[in-house]
Amino acid sequence: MVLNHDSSKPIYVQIAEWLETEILNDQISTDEKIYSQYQLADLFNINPATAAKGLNILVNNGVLYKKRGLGMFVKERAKEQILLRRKNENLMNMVRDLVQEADYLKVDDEELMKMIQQIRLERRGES
Amino acid sequence: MSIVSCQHLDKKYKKQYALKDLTIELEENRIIGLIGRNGAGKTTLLKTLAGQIVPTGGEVKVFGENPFNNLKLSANTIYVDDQMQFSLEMRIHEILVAAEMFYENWNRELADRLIYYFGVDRYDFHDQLSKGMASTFNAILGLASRCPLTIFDEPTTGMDYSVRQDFYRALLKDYIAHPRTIIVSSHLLNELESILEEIVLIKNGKCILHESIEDFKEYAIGLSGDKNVIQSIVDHDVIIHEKELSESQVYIAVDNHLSEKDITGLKQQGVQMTSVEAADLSMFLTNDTRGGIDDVFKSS
Amino acid sequence: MSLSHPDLWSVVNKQFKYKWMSYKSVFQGLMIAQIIAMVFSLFGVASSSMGFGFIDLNIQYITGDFVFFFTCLWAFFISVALDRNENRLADQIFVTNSWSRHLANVVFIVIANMIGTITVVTASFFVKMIHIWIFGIDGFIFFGEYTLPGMLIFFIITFFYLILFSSLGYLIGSIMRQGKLIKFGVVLFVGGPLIFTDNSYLIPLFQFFGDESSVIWFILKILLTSMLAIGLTTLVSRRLEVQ
Repeated sequence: MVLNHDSSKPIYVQIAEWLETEILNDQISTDEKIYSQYQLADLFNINPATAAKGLNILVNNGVLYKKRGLGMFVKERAKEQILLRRKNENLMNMVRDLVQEADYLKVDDEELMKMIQQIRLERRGES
Repeated sequence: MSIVSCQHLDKKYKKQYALKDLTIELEENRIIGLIGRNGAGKTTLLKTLAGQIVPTGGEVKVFGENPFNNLKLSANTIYVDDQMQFSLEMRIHEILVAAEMFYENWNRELADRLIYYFGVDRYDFHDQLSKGMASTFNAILGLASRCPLTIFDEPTTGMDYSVRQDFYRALLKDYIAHPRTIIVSSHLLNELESILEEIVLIKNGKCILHESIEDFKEYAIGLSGDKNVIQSIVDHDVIIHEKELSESQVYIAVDNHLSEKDITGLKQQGVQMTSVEAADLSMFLTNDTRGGIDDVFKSS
Repeated sequence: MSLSHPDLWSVVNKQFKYKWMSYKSVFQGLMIAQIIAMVFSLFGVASSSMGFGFIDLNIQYITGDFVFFFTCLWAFFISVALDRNENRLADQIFVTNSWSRHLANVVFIVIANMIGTITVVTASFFVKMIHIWIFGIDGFIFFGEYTLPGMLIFFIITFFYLILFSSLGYLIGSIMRQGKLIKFGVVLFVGGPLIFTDNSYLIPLFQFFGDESSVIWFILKILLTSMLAIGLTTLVSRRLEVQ
């Protein structure tokens, strides 16, 4: 993955999200050691301190745990944690923006729901 | 441990101050970016740290000692810039021999590999190298010496874009393998920012800001929208940069300390909020010009 | 990263090796000076009408040829230039402080002058051989030097004279670097009289060394003068920044 340096999302947040995706895709499983800050720094060409900040987000969110002198490991039920948080935070924020725009354009609930269903149908067709 | 400590540092040349009341503390084993416009005092500060310049006032300590005329400092520090003057009688391979002799942590393998990769001719004299090649060679010298304090003063002068990218990547990789304090100065931040841990802004001989790069990126926020709306909500003091987009529209960058209430107010009135890129912000903060370039062309 | 703690003498040793690599042209200069001198001596000794003022006088005192005089000039000028800004800049890239730099310069001067001395001795012998070959033996050529003790004394005296010239050159060089005005003053008050007067005022100075009949005293006088000159140099250039 190439980081988007122009994005308004800070680099360390992008790092945290990339790690979450790795966990969700079963690239790294429970109690397995995750990339060190130095591996991440090398991988993404960023300062190790920035990478550490990304890792710390996941520690604070209960996705990773530290073992002294050994590094960081994936917690049990990390996937559920990630999904829950993404739903409560990211998705809710997106919905909030969506609803705000819908209000602005005077799109009522029914129409909005229809639009959502339409998109879901399209996606199913694709896959 | 703080590796560099400057207290109220002054350096006066004839009538002009190159450094004025500069105070800064740098922690060890970090990559620090020193950003400022040409003439802001970057080189004077770095040469003072490298023990090549005697300050006219204040105090400077590097590794806890006065750097001027200090053998221990000299053995643990390398200062690299594009003005490095080697003997006109030494070929590149001889300079490498000398460097290996002087620097305890010198890594010959790294030097040789980089010399090979960048295509520096070992049998050239230093002054025969093109500007970009000379900068590349100097940078290699700085990397391979692995000094506990490594100073790069505008190291990429004359380098091609791809060489600059390669150099910064090499710098990062070698830093990861062998952590040490690295100060890189530049008047441009964008190519450098991802490998930095901290940023120091210097303007008119003063340190005006010293932050972690992540905090720096969130230091300011950009607002664009109706001039009157923005001016009614935003306090004039916090404006970092202002640019007229049209008669009624304006873009401003402000300190990121707006209250929730202000933010909601601005959003409701159609003001767009964007993050301010670190490179732009450093430019806004270190700018010494009066107004903007557009003002020059405004009919009075 | 742990810090290295260099000791002064190991740095001086490294700096000397570095200078040895950096200043190859110093010895090219020596060769050129001596070749010119050899040409001069061959024809100069033959015509014996060269007007060099006090120099002529002293040349006859010591070796009787120009090789010695030109090598003294070489020793003087390389030492004036040794601590010049370009060289200080080159030193500064690597490990140095003012003590190690001066000491390495002194070591360089001593070694360079040893080489200078060897070449003076061989070149002046060579000149005399050629002179005999061209002009035959005449009464003016002095061969007393070419006994073992004679050679030794010739060697010692030449060497210490070179050291004297070098240390004076080193001092004058450092004084000149104190500022443009001082540089101008040095050129005016040292260079001016050398060119525009008969230099007779220098005779006592040279007699001070040249008239000394004891080799030991001669060496002591020169060593003291040289140490004084180099001591003054370190004092003068103590706070000098490289720019």
